[in-house]
Formats: sequence, structure tokens, C-alpha cells
Amino acid sequence: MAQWEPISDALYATQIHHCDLCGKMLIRCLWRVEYDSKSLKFCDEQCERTWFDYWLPRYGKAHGFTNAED
Amino acid sequence: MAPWKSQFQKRKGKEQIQMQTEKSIDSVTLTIINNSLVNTCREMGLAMMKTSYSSIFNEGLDFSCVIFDRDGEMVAYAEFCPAQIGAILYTMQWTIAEIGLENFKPGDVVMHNDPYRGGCHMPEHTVIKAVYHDGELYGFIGNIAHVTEIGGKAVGGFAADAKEVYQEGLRLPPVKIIREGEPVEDIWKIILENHRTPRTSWGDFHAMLGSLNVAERRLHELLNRYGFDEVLTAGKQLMDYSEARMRAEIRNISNGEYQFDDWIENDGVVPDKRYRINCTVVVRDEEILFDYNGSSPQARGPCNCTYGVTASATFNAMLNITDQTIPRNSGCYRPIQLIVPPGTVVNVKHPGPSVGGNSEIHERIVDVLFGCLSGAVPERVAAATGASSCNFLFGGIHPNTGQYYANYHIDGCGWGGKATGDGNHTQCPINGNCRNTPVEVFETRYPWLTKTYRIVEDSGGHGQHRGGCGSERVIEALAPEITVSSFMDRHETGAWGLFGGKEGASGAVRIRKNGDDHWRTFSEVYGTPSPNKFADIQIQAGDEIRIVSPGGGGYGPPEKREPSEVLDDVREGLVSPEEARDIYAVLLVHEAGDWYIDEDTTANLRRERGVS
Repeated sequence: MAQWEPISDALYATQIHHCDLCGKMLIRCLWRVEYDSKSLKFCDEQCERTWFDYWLPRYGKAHGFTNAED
Repeated sequence: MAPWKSQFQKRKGKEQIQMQTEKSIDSVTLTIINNSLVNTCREMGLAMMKTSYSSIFNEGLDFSCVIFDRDGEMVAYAEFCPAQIGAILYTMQWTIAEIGLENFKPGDVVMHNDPYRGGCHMPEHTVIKAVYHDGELYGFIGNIAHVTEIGGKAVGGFAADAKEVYQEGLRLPPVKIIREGEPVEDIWKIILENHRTPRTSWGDFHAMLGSLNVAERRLHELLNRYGFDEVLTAGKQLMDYSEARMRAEIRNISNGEYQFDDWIENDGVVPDKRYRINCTVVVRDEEILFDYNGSSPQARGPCNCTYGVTASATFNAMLNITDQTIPRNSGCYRPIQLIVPPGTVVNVKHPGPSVGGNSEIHERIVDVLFGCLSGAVPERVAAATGASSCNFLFGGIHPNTGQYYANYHIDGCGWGGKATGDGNHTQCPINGNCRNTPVEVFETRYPWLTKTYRIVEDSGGHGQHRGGCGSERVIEALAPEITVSSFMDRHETGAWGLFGGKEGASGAVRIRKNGDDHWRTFSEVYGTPSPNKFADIQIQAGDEIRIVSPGGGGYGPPEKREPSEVLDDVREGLVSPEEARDIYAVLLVHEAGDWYIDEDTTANLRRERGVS
């Protein structure tokens, strides 16, 4: 499941949201993806694609993704 | 496409823009419009240089001027600081997104320096102005510049021992400092009240604003001459053209994975702990991915880079190994993908400090990428550079004026040898096209006496193509008290060579207290955790500082260097006759005030080493 999700932090909030693939700051909204019982946030669909194609097979197991070899 | 990006197209339907993009503009007109946009950026820079107050602006040229279209895409950029080219892409787009395009009005100027919002580090301030032509938004003009003094714990904005961003100075989220042409005085008061040298900041900020006015005027002239749609469409076509050229360049790199790493010597806070910069470059046909996952977790001290710094360094490396005639715009970056994990030394997370990342670590990242790509395009990369800006900050009350002063001083270092020639000597590192301040200006403006400024013999890494040499500078304090800070690296290990080239000499920063016979490290004299990264040290009149910049690495085995080139090196004081003999196998004799090659002995020496 994937969908756009608005980011609406309080004025006093200090956290910065980062894309789970590229590390860029996420602003105004994020691309939310649920996978392997985990909630992931990306800049857009392109980062999601690269996460599945490149990141997951390479680093998935070390980060606790049981479906890393899918 | 993220929903917020679609707002860029609201002003004039997206479909209409796409139709215009399909309309082809002839290459001559395209070239003229491109040159006009680039020249506008150059003129912005000249306005900055000629009207600013600080020497890091008017002598150092530590700024970049850019033009963006209304989609937030960079359409033009001139020969400014590579350290800022990536960052300003993000500061611009994210600022527009955060404020909301609908909230920009003609005459508004936004400023920000937040390192977590795309900035390079806190001293780097970005100003952005929307340009409307006949009521229609064309795009944005902006510049990003290193402001010398921004408050915080260390004079000169370089808290080299900071443990969090709050010690590094005044942090500004994107805020309007000019609203519909009128200064927002409350914001100006807050900013200037927090800087130690507010008059200089005021002057530099107005130089930045002036350059925006120059650009706005030139853009109106261009839009009047060629028409709004033509110029907008030309920008799109230029970006498509640059993208195609960049993709063609990447296709010439063999598919595969290339990995390399280098180490930061310490972070200024934790003694003797090193930090790894690692990158895996993945080339797939006409796209290239830079994966920094092997880099160290973020440091406690300010050797961390922001995302903007790492992106800038990556783009910088790519622009250095590809055709220099490709127009510099957002199109160049489309085939490049980055993976920069947050919470590492290459992507600092709040509230981690980051002031040193932009000035000292950017160049190390470029070196790492050259190291990666040396396996793929050895003829296009260089050996490691000295990779240090020799950041030296100082300030205090000037004895001649009674006023607070502050300065950000940089020195050049040796660059790495490359396939086509030797590395340059004592040149500003690859993160900037900056200049250091001439001695005459330096001594006129600040209470120092320059006692030595010279190239250091044998500091360039020996090689078929020799690394450039570093420099030595000795300055004596003339004021009763000066507060100094430093953020330097490559003081333990020199710049690495490539393909048999030797390592360059490492750098140093030392102090000789008035009356002392010896040069000592700041750790020895003041107990700082790091000998080369420290802040807020008070020195007194008569104390001397010695700054030695690192040399660049050599390229190719030194025995292959032509003896005539070695002779020139010795004559120019770049290589000693002893190193000429021992490293290059060239015996030189000194007769009648000049050096000559002993041809027979040199031939024998080279034969013994298997060099024909």
C-alpha cells in the first residue's frame, strides 16, 4: 500500500523528516509505503522504486527486513 | 510527482508549458539566451564583489548566483563556488515549497541559512526573490554566500568544537526580509543584533540584495527582447539538452560498481577518532548512482556534512569528469541519483553540528569519488587534493578603531596530479573558486603582520605528473588580544597518489607564543582536544601562527617524469635536488648559479630502476 501523506508539524517541532532511500528532507508531504510490517517514507515513487530495486536486496536483511530477497 | 511540486505549474497550466517545450527553438537563439542568463549570473557576482563589505565577499568571492525558472529548476549558473551548486538547488526548491508559491509577492525577498533545509552550513546565507514579468511569474533569482560573522560561540561563525547546531550561530528558517519591496525591520533587527559585526553583515546582505536587483533588471530586458514564452521554453530546452549531454557522458563510463573511501582525522571534539567517508558508485547505462551507505555515523563535532554539501560534492565531481561545455543547469543532475543516509557524517541530522563539512569535507568527498572513478575513467580524474581550506577565523576589538572585527581566512592547498599534467599549487580547494585575501589587504584591515608566505618545497606528491605544492604562512598578532579558531584536516595523512604517484605532504597549524623558541600545537599550549580543530582561543600580541597547507597527490610513477621537468621543478624551488635524485632518479649539479642535469649519471640511475 502506498499513498501521499501530508506533513503537518507544529511550529515548535524540531524533527526533520528524511526520505528512507535518498536521505533528502521531506517537505509538505511524503510518499508513505507499508512493507514487511514496516512503515516507510519516500520523496516520491522513484525513490520507492530504487529502494525496492537497489536498497532492499543490498541492505534489507541487515535492517531487519525478512522479505529482503523478494 | 509530489503534490507540492505541482503547485509550480498552477500559474500557467502545465499542459501549455509542455506544448511550449515541444516547440523547438533554434540553436543560435538557444545559445544567445543561455549566454545571456549565464552572463546575468556573472554580473550578479560582480555586483556582489564591488559592493560588499567583508573580505570573504569582495576578495574571497565565496558566493554563487543563480537563476531558476518557475518550476524551481536551475536554468543558469556561472563559475562560482561548486560547494554551493547542489545546496542552492534544494534551498531554493524547499524554501518555495515551505513558504508556498501562492505566498510570494512581487518585491518579496526570502533569506535562510538552515543547514537542515538544504543549506551547506550556518554561515552560508541564501536570498531568494521571485521575478514577475507583466504580472506573470517567470522564476526566481537567488544567491548564496558565506557571511563572515553570524554569532554563536566562536567569532567568525566557525565553532570548530561545537556539539550542536545551537552553538554555531543564528539559525534562520526561510523568512521574508523584504516584503513587497519594503524591509521587514523586525527581522533585520533580530539578525543584526545576533551578529558580532552587524555593520559588515548589513553591507554584505545589501550586496546580495543588490545583485538580485541587477538580475531582475537583466531578466526583464531578456524577456522583453525575446518574449516570455520563448525565454521560458528556452530554459526547458537547455535543461533537456544538458541532460542528454550528461547521459551521453555517463554512457561512456563502463557499467559496474566502483568503491573507495577516505578518512576525516578527527571531529574537533573526540580526540583521535577518525570518520570514514565511503561511496559506492553504480553505473548503469546512462544513469549513475552514488551510495554513501558505508560512511561513519555522524560525529559529535562539526565535521559532518549536510545533505546539500554531499549533493554539491557529488555534482562537483561529475562536472569535473565530464565535458566542460555542457551548460550548467538542473538538466545535468537528472541522471544522477544519491543515497545519503541521515545520521551519518555525510548527512547530518538535527541537532548535529556541521560548520566544517562544507569547507573541509566537501573536497574529501570529491576525492573519494575521484578514487571510485579512477577505476573507470583514469584519464579524467586526479589524485587527491590537499583538500583543506585551512579555515582560520579570528576577531576581536580592533586597536585602531575600537570596533569589533571578524575575518574568515582561507589558504589554498596543492591539487592532485592528473593524466594531463601536474596539480596546481596553493589553489583554493575544489569546493570553491575562492581567492585568499592579498597580504596588503589583510594587513590593512586586520591587526596582523605577515612574516612568511611561500610555497613549500617537496610538499607536492611526487609522480609522473606531480601533485601541486602547499604553502606556509606565518603571521604575528599585533593587537593586545585576538580570538582565533581553526578547522583543518589532512594534518596526519597526506593526499593519496594514483597509479604509483606518491602521497603529498600533510599540513599543520602551530603557535609560537611570544618568547617561546618552538612551534607547538594548540593541544600542547591550550589543551584543545584536537590540534587542528579548535575555537575561541585568545592569543596575545607577539604570538605567531604558522599555517601549512597540504600538498596534492602525485599521478603515475615518479621515475617516468621527464628529467627536464624535474630540472624545472628544482629551479623553481618545488622539488629539492635530493628528492630529484632519490625519488625521480635525476642527478642535478649546481654550476655557475644554476642547475643542470648530469645526463650520464641520470641515465645510469634510471637504468638501475628499470626506467628507460
